[in-house]
Amino acid sequence: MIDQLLNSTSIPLLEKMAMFTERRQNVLAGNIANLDTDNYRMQDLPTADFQHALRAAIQRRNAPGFQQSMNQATPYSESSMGQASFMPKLETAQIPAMTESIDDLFTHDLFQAEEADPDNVIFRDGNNRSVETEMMKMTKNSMMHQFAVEMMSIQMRMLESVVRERV
Amino acid sequence: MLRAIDISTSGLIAQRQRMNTVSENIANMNTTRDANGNPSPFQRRMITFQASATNPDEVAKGVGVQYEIEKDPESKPRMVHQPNHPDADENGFVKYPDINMVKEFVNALEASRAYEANLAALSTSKTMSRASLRILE
Repeated sequence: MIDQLLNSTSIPLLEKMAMFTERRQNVLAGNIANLDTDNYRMQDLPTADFQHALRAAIQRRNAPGFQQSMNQATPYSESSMGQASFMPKLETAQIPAMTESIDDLFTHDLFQAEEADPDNVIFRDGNNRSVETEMMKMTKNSMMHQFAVEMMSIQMRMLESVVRERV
Repeated sequence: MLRAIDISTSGLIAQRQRMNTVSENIANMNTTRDANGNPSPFQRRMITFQASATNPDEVAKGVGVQYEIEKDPESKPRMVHQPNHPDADENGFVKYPDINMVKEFVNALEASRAYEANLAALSTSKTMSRASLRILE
């Protein structure tokens, strides 16, 4: 039950975002460490592809079938004794695809760095450094991470107040 | 996230080492003897950087940097006519190390800026991991 409660929020997506920004931080730190390395080329994760995956995941969540299957997944039913109970219906197992996780959208490739900034000047040592670009990327990335973490934290707090039945 | 901190640390170490070679070169600008007291000019040290991994899988995760310090093969001694110098050869020339102050200072400046960049990256990583740890607070 708690799984479905969590999955109905945006926490799974925010989790992916935090994961992505952490990986990206590693790669950007690597770029800065290698600012003076001969023949090193700046690396970056495919941010545009990640945004596409994020959008696809949101669209999938908003699709009517998904919401429906979420509602059916833990039907609230009152037994004849008048006691409320959460009874998973057997046929929920057959509700296809939509409840399945979003992991298939966020493939392994999204978290693999590749050569970036093909327009950068290549210096005589074979390095295409641009300190400003790297620092700017890192700042933006850190803000994205902060956003994801903050939102996650807020959602957690909301769930917590629901559980406690008070704000 | 800890990987990012390790990577930035490797960058810091490499740049500090670069600074060390610069100081070594400047300190030995006029050194005409080796450690045993024999006349042999100091040879300029140079540092080379290389990424700590080259296989694409590792590079895709972000790599640190490693360094190597070698003697500069292109540095030829500077000959100065000083017949009274104890290390002068039979023609009265003394071999001084070929160290260019401007080159060394530019190098030092670059090292210091790169060090700062790594430090900034490190503090960003630190802030990020601290934020992650506080999700449940």
